[in-house]
Amino acid sequence: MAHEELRDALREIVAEVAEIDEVPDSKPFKDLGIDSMMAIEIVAEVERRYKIKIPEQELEQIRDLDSVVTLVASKLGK
Amino acid sequence: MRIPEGVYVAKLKVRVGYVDTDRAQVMHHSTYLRYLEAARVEYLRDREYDFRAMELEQGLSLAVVEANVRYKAGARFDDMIELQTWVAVANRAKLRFDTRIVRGEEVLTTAEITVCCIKIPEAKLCSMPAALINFGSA
Repeated sequence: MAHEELRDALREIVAEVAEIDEVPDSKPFKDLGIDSMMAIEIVAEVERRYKIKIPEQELEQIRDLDSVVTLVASKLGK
Repeated sequence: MRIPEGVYVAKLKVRVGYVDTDRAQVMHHSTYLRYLEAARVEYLRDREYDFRAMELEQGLSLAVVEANVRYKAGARFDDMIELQTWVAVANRAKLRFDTRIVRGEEVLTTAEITVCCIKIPEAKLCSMPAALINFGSA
């Protein structure tokens, strides 16, 4: 999966879990109304979808879509 | 609210005390939340999950983030009621306990209580322990 394809797929997951239409690349999740529980739900869905494991200590890296893409890409070896 | 097939259901019987009721001798709406909490703890005990150790040894606790309670009929002073509780949703972010409160065959109240896991010292959200997530699969 190409990097842009991955970004679009993750954007869709975030939009779906947070029930929002627009997920800009670098707008902080908290400004989009995504609280810490929703962030964990996003992680859970990402883990399920890509069959990866994101450890507890890495959850804090998740601040916006860019950070999710970076984290997932690193897990997938991209 | 029907109990889904195959789920583990914990049952807690409670005798409605005088202190639980209002002037009409009907159980006060706030009292239900207290018994719903007792029912969740009973569920964990029933499944041999040591909630006290979770708090004291792991420094984790469960915090209610959403409570939906539907009052259909009132429990009255001295009634014997039963709280039937199961885990309806379980994932890394949350657990949702569903409960039916019955008096005999009559369903008095249904409730959906969602909890998240927090680290006690800093009251910060963290992932639900795997043992609790597993309760969602049976």
